[in-house]
Amino acid sequence: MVRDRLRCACYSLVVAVFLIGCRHNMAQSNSPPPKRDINAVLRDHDKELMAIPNVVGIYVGVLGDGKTPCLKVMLSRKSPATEQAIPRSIEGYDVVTKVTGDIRPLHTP
Amino acid sequence: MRPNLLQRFCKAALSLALLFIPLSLFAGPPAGVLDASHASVRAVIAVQNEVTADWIRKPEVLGTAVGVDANGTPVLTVYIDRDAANAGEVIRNLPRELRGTGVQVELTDKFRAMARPGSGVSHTATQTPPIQLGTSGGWSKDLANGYCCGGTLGSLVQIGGTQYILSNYHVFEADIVPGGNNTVATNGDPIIQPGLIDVNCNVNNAQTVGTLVKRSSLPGSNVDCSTAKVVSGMVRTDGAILEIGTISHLTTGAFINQAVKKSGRTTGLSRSSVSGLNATISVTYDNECAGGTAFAKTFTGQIVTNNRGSKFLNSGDSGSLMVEDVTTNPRSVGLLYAGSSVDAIANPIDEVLAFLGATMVGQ
Repeated sequence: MVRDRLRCACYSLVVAVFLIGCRHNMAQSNSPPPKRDINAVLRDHDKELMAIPNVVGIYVGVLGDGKTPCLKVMLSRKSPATEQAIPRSIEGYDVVTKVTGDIRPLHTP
Repeated sequence: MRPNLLQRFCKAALSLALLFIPLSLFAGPPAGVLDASHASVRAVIAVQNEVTADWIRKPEVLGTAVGVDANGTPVLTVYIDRDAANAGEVIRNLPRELRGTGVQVELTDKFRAMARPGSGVSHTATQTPPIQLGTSGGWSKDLANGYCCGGTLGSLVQIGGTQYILSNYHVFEADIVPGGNNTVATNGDPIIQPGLIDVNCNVNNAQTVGTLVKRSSLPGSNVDCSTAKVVSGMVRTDGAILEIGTISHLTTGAFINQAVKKSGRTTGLSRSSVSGLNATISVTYDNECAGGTAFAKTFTGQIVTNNRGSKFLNSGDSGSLMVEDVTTNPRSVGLLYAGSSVDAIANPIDEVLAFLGATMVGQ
């Protein structure tokens, strides 16, 4: 009888240690917090990006895989200083630059 | 004795040479001009003749030519297909120099014959009224500083039971200084078809299809739009657009990779796809045709569409309506107004209609 109780206590201890370990591991494999909506990210950062020389536009686009959302920064021309000033990512979203030239009204001449 | 063929050929060649020698004495290029007789150019041509046949076998190499570098020195220019998957590798393997001749790379689209497979529909010709939209047009006095300006009469909208042609602020009413033509855009001014640019800048060769009703959308609002009240009988009341036909009175929101099309003055009917949404874009506007800077406007929430090589939208297409690419009664997506040779920009059509208090005229 005493032996049974002792065995039961041992099992309980093992289970408790296992559960605590699992919880600890779950805390360690902390997944990144969910990203904010990319449109909100753009809205909160467009002014600072537009203030960088040679930046003429910013929009929500997709990466080369055709589906992963990213922020695209339109440049009137390429320059090392501009490239350096633009972050590689913002709030977990890739920031991709592309040289578009100036954006101008398209009437003639 | 009759001269044989060789003798006749020699005589003809001598005659031609005698004819050209005095001409060349007077018509020769000035010293320093880089023509085919220039020693540096000849050296490049020699290298070009040696390597071109071999290099052009690579599908990435589209051609070679004698060019000049940033210092004006003749070099061998190699045209590489910008879309080729191996372009980078091919470029890395090209020599920087061959026997003292510099080699430079130019990335380019594939070369193509420029004759357009004509649809047979002109977007610049004077139409017999009632006209279809997607055609050349503009403000009748858009002539200043040695230029005339114009754009596209894009679509038809309805405001309180009255029909208006929809185009851009900068096509109809952007002349805000007396400047080079001693006038400014005023309510009631004629809106013409085709635009001045397509009638040798002579307003008498165009027809009045509407009268300007200014909306002053810029610089204050977030849309680049303006309207002209239709002159009775001059515009199709069903709002038909050249090569698109009638559209839906409904609109639809843009989404990435959405197939779209438009009908405009310069590139006619063209198709593309949406590449970006919610764009913040800075655009600089003139104060009249070929005038000075009026203001720089930063738009938000704009639609970005692929426009490589300006094939979708080019100068003169401003005012075109962007619609979904379906055959029957497409829904409107955006009002095109700006761009570069890479991207085209449109106001979301719902924002334009809300600004005007209008609906699209359609089925």
